[in-house]
Amino acid sequence: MTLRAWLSRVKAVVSRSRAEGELDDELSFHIAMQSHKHREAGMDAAAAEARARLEFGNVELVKEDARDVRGVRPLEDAVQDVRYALRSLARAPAFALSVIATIGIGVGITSSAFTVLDAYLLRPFDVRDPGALFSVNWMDREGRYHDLTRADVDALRHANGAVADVMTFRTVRQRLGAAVAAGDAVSVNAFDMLGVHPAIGRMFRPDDAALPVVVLSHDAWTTRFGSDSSILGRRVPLWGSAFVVIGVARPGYTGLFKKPRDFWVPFAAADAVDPTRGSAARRDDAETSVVARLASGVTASQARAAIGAVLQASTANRSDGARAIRVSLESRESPIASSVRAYAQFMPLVASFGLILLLACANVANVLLARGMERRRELGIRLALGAARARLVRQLVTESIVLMLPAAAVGFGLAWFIVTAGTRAVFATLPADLAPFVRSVPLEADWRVVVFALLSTIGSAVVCGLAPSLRATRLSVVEATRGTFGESGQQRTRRGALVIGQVAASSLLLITATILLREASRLSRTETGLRTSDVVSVEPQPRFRSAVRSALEANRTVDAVASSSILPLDMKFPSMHVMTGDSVGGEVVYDRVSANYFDVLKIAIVAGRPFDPADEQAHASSVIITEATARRLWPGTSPIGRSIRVRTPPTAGAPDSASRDREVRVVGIARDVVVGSVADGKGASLLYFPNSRELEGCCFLARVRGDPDAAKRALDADLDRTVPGGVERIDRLETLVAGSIYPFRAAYFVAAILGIIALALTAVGVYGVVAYLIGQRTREIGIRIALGALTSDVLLLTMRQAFRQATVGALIGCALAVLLARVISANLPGVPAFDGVAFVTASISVVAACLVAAFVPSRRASAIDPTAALRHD
Amino acid sequence: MTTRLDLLQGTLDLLILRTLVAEPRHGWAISERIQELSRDVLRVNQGSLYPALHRLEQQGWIESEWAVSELGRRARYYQLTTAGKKQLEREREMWTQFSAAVGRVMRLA
Repeated sequence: MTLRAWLSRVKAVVSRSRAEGELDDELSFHIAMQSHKHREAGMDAAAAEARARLEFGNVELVKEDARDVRGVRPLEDAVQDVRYALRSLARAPAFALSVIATIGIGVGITSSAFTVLDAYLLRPFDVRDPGALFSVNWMDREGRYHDLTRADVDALRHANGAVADVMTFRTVRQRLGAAVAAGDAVSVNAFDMLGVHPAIGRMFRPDDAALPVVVLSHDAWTTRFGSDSSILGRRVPLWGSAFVVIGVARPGYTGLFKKPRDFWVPFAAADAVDPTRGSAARRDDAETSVVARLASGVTASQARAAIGAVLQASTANRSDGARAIRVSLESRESPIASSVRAYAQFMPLVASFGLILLLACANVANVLLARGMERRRELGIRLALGAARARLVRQLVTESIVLMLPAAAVGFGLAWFIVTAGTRAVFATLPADLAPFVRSVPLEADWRVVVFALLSTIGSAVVCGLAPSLRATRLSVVEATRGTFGESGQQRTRRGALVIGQVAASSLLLITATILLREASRLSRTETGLRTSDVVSVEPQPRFRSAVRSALEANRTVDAVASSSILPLDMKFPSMHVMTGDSVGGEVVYDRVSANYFDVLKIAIVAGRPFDPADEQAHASSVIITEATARRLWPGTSPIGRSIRVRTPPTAGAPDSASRDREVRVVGIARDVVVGSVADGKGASLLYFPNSRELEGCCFLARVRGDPDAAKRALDADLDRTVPGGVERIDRLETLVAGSIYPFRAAYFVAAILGIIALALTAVGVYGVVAYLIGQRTREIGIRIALGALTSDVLLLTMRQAFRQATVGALIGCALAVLLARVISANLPGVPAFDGVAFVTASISVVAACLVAAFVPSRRASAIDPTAALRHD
Repeated sequence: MTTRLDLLQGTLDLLILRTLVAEPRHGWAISERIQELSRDVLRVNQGSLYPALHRLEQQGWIESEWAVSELGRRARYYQLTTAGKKQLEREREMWTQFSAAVGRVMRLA
């Protein structure tokens, strides 16, 4: 249909009353002419009029047909339906409000989940053409992943036109304005490539490449420097050197990663002062992460082929296994590159939040179904008068859409509240020392969320409204004319199915939530095997290491100082391949620790001996293994004095360096500790090698005296004075444990809230259905009471069905939960595959809630006055 | 009383267009004219006349105008447009072919 035809239709609807008036005039003129003709022929006026009308037939029918011809029926009908809906809703405000509240809660909860999903997965970064940005790396024939060398980057820039520009970057962490900040060292073309402009000052220019200059994010400028515009030109310390602030990026740009960035420095300038970057990192063949912008019109697969050709050429001279075989491009359009896997990871979130909306819909559908039944008389009459069924269904669906539209507003407001309050709650409940390290992408409830809330509301309205309207308009002529509408068995079954489905869904959610909550409480009680309460970990800047150690040893609150190559409870333990004399072996993670490490952290040595100072000589070949390692490598025999062959992996960044084999001897067995995440529990294999002064690891572990919190603060202040800029991080180990448990506790808490909301919705649904059924059976119950039924008989009558439905629903929920629990326990090692306590408590709660919900209206039923009931209807 | 025939499907449009060739008419006049010229054999059902008029107008073959009628009341007068005249020619052609064909079959079969 052309635009003009549509316009004329819209005009026709707008000028509907005029068109209707004209149609009236035209038809009544026809009848007037006809009766005039009959009068001419000699009939009297009244008879002529009557005859003319008779001849004309049904005026309304002619009008309907004429309107159809104008093609404005659907629009006119819609307008009419909306008016009708508004009128009938105004008559039942309590009904309208309860539906709006129910759907509002469902939409609100779903929209808050959408806000998170949108921020991480769907919303593109606020940079120029983010769809063309890709991280590039490649795999060699031995399956190792590589970044690109400087020569590769140059080759890509000039190669075959697939790539428009390339930026290199490296993530760095530094103190900035008295708190830890995340930043990127980037090539100076980065901001031009991304189209990011400054809010004040300027961004990088090509000649900034080696200058100590820094650009701040708008957020960091506001929160850390109070939006002070005199910041430009100020020197801030990074890596112990002064960097000059030259600009602040525009609001909305916080880098291309999940964790927002606070500052950017030129790549080469950062390399010049960053002590962790040795000469190897500055060599031409050092590899760095890159993001490429594809030329316009080039697809990812074309680019993959083109980049592959470049890399194959650049690696052609290497040994066979080190040559490029595959290039992988990962979209940098949004914080999490959208992929099937990413969506799969978000599925539990989407599904459990979506389930709440479905439950709300089921409640409303039930209410609408009941209401539709009450309106069968009205609908029956309209059907008998010749209204088309499709027309009535359309009207009822329109009604449910009109009814639920305000729920979109409620839902949006609720989503905004949940997201704001939730973010605040996270920061309020986080261990205070960790708060500066936790960053979330900006979660904004903006127009995208509005659109989502609106669409999900309309979707729910159609879902809720369609089935009840189809049902309510399916009437037998007999029923319609007799005016009595019983409910058939099939209808009752369907309503029952709805309730059972609800109970099943909420049992599923509640069981899962209970399993996870029990896991959370187990986690908070987990023994790490380490003494965490009075131990403070100190991560020094590498070049200040010995100064920091001296300062720690000189501090009077410090009892003992141990060192380790890895922070305990860190996820990033390196691993190596080990092999016993009996050819038992595999990948095992390892740590290098000082001799007093076991003493400071109170890790018992159960057999053999701890390291002694002699072990701390370089190339010492002693190793202490954990009990789990002993069980794995020498099941049933004592490993003390045995030797193992360990293979250190090739040095990262130097692909051709050979793997080195070394023979080490087991001198002791240490008690098991948590390795990596607390959620994984104890029992992972771990090797301890002795530390040497030269190879001292990342961090010191200081046991302090007195109140550990005060001691930590005092230590921080002392180190800041004696070794300014020398410490990257200082934490109580206790805080790190709490931090590693926190995400699980937060997620499980959310699951519990969802479970409770689901339970409440189900109880409300059961209440509604039972109340409705009792309303339907008032007469029957009245008769029973009149015939001498006791209160308990009536209660039993109405409760029996609710009990049956609740039990069936809960059983189905249990069955589904068994499957889900398997999936969960496969992904979270600590969670048992079957947690009987959780199943029993959760399903009992669900059934109990349903019975309570059914009991309230049932009590009312047992109080029915038989005389009133028999007069009823 | 003569036998009255219902109109064949599709012929109403043709008849309406034809009655409007001479002058603009209102709906009643169109149905009277058809009845009169067919010597009362063809009766136009009002239920189809007005929808047909509105449809023809929608298609742009006729246009309408309100004017004062012989009774002194306002009436809606329909008149042929240029496109309507062409359409009439097409329909007349088709009708001639159709009736000739039916006639041949009736004579020869």
